[in-house]
Amino acid sequence: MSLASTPAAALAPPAMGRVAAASWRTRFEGQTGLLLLSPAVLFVTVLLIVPTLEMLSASIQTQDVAGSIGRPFTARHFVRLVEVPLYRDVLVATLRIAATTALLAAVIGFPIAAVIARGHPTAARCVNIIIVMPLVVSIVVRAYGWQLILANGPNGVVNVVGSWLGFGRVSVRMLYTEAAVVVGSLHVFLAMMVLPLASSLARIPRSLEEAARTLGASSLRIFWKVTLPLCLPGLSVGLTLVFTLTASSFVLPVILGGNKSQMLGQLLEQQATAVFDWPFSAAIAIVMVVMIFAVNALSLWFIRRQLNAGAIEAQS
Amino acid sequence: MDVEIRGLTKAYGSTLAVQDLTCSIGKGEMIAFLGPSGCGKTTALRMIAGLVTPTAGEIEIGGRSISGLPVHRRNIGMLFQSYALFPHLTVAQNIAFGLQARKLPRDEIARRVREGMRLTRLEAFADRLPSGLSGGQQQRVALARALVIEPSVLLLDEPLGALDKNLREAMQMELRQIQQRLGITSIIVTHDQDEAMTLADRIVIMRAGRLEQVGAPAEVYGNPRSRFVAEFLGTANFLHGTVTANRDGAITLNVAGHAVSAAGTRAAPGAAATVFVRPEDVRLRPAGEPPAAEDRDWNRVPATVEKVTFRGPVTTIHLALPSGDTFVALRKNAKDRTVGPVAGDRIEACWPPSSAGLLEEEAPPSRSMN
Ligand SMILES: Nc1ncnc2c1ncn2[C@@H]1O[C@H](COP(=O)(O)OP(=O)(O)OP(=O)(O)O)[C@@H](O)[C@H]1O
Ligand SMILES: [Mg+2]
Repeated sequence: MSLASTPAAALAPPAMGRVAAASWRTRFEGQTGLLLLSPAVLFVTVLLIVPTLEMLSASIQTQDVAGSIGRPFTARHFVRLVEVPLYRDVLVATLRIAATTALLAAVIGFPIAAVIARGHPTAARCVNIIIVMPLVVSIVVRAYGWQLILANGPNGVVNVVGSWLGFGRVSVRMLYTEAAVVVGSLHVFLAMMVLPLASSLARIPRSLEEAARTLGASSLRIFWKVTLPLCLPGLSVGLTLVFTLTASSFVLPVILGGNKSQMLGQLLEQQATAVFDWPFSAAIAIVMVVMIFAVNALSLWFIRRQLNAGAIEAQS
Repeated sequence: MDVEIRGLTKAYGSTLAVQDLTCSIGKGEMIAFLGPSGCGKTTALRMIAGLVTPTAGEIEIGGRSISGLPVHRRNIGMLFQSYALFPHLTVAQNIAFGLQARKLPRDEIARRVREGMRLTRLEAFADRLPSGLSGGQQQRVALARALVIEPSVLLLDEPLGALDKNLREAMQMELRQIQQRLGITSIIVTHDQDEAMTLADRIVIMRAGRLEQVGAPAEVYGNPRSRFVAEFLGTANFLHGTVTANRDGAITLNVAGHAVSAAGTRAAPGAAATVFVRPEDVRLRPAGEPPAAEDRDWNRVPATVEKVTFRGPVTTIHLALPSGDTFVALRKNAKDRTVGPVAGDRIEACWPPSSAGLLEEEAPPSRSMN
């Protein structure tokens, strides 16, 4: 896409009275731009576009007994993913876990974002650091940390605390359930919700809330009628990011979900490296990519509609 | 009195943003809080709205103390310099906001919104978003939004500050008209003396958190209590001297060897004193010319013309007095008038004693707690 615009700019007719040298320079600069872009273009083409096309083609072909992939073309793999209950459950569980995590992140993230955007500067800085710090720790390390905390035996941190509080020796059996995956994902991806929300919140002038207050609105009403609507761009960015990252995660469901709560990433790994069913694996990968694109497109469309409403009005 | 403010004080740390502000506002009256930047006008207004909690003091509206009431229960209309319109709501929805918060019936809301848009001439823009409106239109939306809730007091914090001069003057007229038609008690904050004098029934002049003087525009302009007020409300000339006589409400000063008389009683002979005279009260006549019958007892001081500036309706003439002080006189630019003085002319500046006033000697203002 960026390829198309550069030569077009170079070929644009030079302005009246512009000397030839200048137009030559423009063309030269256009080519320099192309030259500078080429490593990136090459990289993306070889490592992203070609493999994706390869995968797309594999997902609609047939694998014979010997393992080689070829004709006839078929949609069978996609149908299998949706029709076989075992696989369909994985697809549904993935969507459910991702959606739950995104919604919980929004609910938990809002007050945290409010502290960052509106709180005392010192408090804001501390909270910011606490939220961002997990991003510098490997996701594997954090997942194992949660495994210790949520462990189902009497030695799990939650259960130890529970027994201190008198809830019995083993009060919570959460590890290797969907809930554990949600908890882990929340911790890992919360920053992705909080940061865009905080920047959205910070952009709302305080005078709007003050005006609403003098007009007789209670705090709750101000939140629903003023703050939340004006935060929607940040909120939808946050929801999209958390949903996307959770839906495509692999490490967290493996470590925290066990095999009871399989997600698409695990199924894909299993099919590709244990079963060696590459066309089916490719189909799973394609479904994941499409799912994520769809959520992103939806969110983009929504944000653009919000922004356009203002922009179009401004022109008239 | 509709609004009573007693001893209102706000301390930020050890600085007093507002100290011991006491004033009362009558029903339907429009009051201006006027003063230089940072003198505490906004803080005072926001305490009345409830957006800032006073350190001390009492505020009553309609005879009831509102100190315990949260902002949204005070029934106050407020206009902000930034308009503070809800960007995601249309003009009509913005105006309806306060009515919906009051849970009024749907048709009552529609009726009042229509009425508000008619009053502020916004009918044509009902379905626009604020981003599609000019600054003046946006402020009219904010006004309509504040008025439809029928507030007990309307508070305006530099509402026209972001508008250019012409629009600003037009909006002042409109605002004043609407305010008088509805008879709504209002307080406007401004640092623009013209705006305060155009809009307000009475002006509260503030300085460093304190009330300096309060009165009708003509009163504070004509009889400023201090040099600060005299200077803040336009140009003024000051003469410093020693009191030589004080009788029958008139005092006489020795200003660099010239006798100058002025209205005033609060001065003992021998004391230092300052009198002021407005430039428009100063007449110029050629030096040495004998006084006419009507200005026989006027003050007269010899002066040299330093600079003459043509400013449309008037010409400003800067004079140098023998004492070294500068003096400013205004001359109306009527078509048929004779040629005015030019720089370097030796002339006499004259003014009637009644137009000169004695100022209170003042201590520099203090803002700290002790
Ligand atoms: N939240 C605050 N914290 C600390 N000091 C403050 C705060 N708000 C106002 N002040 C101080 O109080 C004083 C009065 O401020 P205020 O905003 O009321 O002035 P103002 O008269 O409205 O000035 P302007 O014409 O510039 O708007 C200023 O010295 C200001 O620095
Ligand atoms: Mg202010």
